[in-house]
Amino acid sequence: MGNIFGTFWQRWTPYLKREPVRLHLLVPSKRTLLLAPFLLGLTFVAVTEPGGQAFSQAVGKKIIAALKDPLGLLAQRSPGKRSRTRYLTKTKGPHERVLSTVRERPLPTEAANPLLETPPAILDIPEGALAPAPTPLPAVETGPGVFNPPFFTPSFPIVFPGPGGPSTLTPPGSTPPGTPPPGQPPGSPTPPGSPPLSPPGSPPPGTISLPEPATWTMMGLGFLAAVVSARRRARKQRAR
Amino acid sequence: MSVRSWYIAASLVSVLGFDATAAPAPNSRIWYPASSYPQLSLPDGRREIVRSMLDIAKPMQFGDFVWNEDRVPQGPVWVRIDLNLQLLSVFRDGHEIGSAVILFGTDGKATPTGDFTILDKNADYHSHTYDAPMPYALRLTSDGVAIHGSNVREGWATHGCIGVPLKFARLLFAAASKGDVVAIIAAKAARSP
Repeated sequence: MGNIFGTFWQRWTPYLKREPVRLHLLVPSKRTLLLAPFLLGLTFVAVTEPGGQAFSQAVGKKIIAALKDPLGLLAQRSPGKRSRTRYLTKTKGPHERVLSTVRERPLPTEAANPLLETPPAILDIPEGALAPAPTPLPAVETGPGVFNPPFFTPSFPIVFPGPGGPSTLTPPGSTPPGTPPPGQPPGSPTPPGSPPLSPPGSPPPGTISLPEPATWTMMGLGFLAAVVSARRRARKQRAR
Repeated sequence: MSVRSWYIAASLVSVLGFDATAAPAPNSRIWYPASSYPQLSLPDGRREIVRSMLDIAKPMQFGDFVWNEDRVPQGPVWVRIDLNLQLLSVFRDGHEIGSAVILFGTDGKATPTGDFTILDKNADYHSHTYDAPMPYALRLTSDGVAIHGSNVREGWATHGCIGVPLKFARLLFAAASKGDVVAIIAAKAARSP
């Protein structure tokens, strides 16, 4: 007995020392692994053969019919309920248009921009050519048979630009200090040397365009991936 | 030949045989036992018995449809449209012979619900109101609501009609006839935005 026990101990002790017993018991042997699908196939063939097939079909149909009612089957194949997003129709109706965030508008040329045109040189016209001497109004005749149109008498003062009176026009080149150049709204802080107009949406000159947070994130992830792959490769080479 | 080789060969044969016999037939059908046919209720309270249903295990996508009328006898046809599930099912003699994902109304022109009958059939209908082709139209109401062929895509809707894939519309047009019942079940939870 002692000899048998000693043989057993000598045979299994190093193996138990090498591997934990629990792991060894959980892992099935190769024979079991190979036999499992074979037995499974044999079982299936036995059930699906004539006789067994009829039995399995009868039982299966009853079970399926009991478990699956028509509404359950319909719900199973449904693509789901309609979500609350806006739905589009192909024919007439509301159409949605997506505009890009950047809008480009051609810069107006000097010839096409009426605001950049120089004012007409009405001031070059010699005095007296446009403003003839005021003629006195004809005498109003009164009496029967004479139609007298009612004269319009404005209740507010109207100022006509004229050579003798107060004029709102100023000649080019003689802009008084504090007056914006022509084509620019008054009160604008743009100095006189800057371009008068800029297309809307374009950044003001001097600003630096920065990437958006998503771009930063993608860049960071890319660098991180590159670093990780380089480190992994170096580690593999070191291990070799 | 060693024992291990026999094991491997037998396993392969059994696994392959298992796969070949276990693969379900395409568009197979679930038959209900004659002793206990389930019923589907219509909006007006009537009930229609269901003898078999198409076995479509996985969810259908927009534009998908199934049509299978093998071993299905001739009989009365009725159509069930479920707006909640976005599905249309065609039944003949109690057997489901077709099913498709649908489009339905939105933007203030909702699809009417209830029981209808097919008033008219027009295989080449063109809507004057919307200036749009509506092939294989089965008209349900006097104001133009119909089941017709459409480009069924997710995110799209109709002005009240029921849109089905074009091939399915052709099959349905051939199977249905004037006077057949069409039950439109209302959407309970999800309303059109």
